[in-house]
Amino acid sequence: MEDVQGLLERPKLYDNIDGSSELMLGCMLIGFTSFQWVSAHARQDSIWNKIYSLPIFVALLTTVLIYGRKAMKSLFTYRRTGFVSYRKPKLRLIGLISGIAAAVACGLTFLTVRRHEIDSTMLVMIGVGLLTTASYAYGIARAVRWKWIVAVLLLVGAVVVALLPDWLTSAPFSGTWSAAVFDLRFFGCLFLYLAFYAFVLLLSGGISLGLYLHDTRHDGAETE
Amino acid sequence: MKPQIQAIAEIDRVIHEPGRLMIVALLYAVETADFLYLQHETAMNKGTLSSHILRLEREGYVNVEKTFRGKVPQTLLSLTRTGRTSFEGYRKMLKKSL
Repeated sequence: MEDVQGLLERPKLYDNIDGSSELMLGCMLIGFTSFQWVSAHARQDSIWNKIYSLPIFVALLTTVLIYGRKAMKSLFTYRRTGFVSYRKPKLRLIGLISGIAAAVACGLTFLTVRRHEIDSTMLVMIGVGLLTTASYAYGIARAVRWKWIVAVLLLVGAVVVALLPDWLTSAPFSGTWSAAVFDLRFFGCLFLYLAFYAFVLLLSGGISLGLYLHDTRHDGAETE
Repeated sequence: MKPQIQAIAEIDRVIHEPGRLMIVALLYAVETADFLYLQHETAMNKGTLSSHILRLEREGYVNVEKTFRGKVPQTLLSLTRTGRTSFEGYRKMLKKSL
């Protein structure tokens, strides 16, 4: 029965066989962090800081990445190891309950942090690190054994970023208009971790793509 | 006869064959997949895979659609409603009998 269950999960894990999921997410995060950096360093009244700039940027980036990934799949993956179209996921009750539970837990943690004046940066970074590691491990790492190293690296990265000295974490935004508005350490940590996460995803996805192209070949023949 | 033994006797023999079980389980998790994907995942040769698919198609479990991806012919496969129901029944029966 476990073998059958394993077979049922294989198509889901096939989605990242060429590293395209990681490359897409990595590019998305690079784009997002770049936007944050540019908007912090631009003048406060510049176009980068208008209320509509981020949604337009995200929509454009997402469109480019979705079609880019489709093109990549058509060029390499479908020709080498086959085409799969997925069933639309059903909204399950357990997912809904987990989402509500996570939101309540986050809210309670936030209130506790405020009431007891705890250093929230460390807590948030560990939370973000755990969340990204868990989602990466579930979605990607369980298909390929060496990617567990990447999952561990993500968690270690979150802790290391949280332990960095203030002058280093606030460096990306110091001297900008955002220094007067935001907690520089907090946003600096998040920025550095997202950049680190993006870099790790791009590296891991790039290695997967290289290995995939090396290990598979394009027959160019009919599929049957 | 014990219910457990009865359950074994009632197992769907079309799906129970290992090669066909692999095909049905893989197709159950997707909307459609092509022949190349099944060949890659099951590591079966073209002839064996074709004969299993033919049997499943004859039983009404699998829908086969011949199409083109650009200029390259493509064989798209999906489970029919009967195929889905039969696979769900097969899993239940297998759980009951083990």
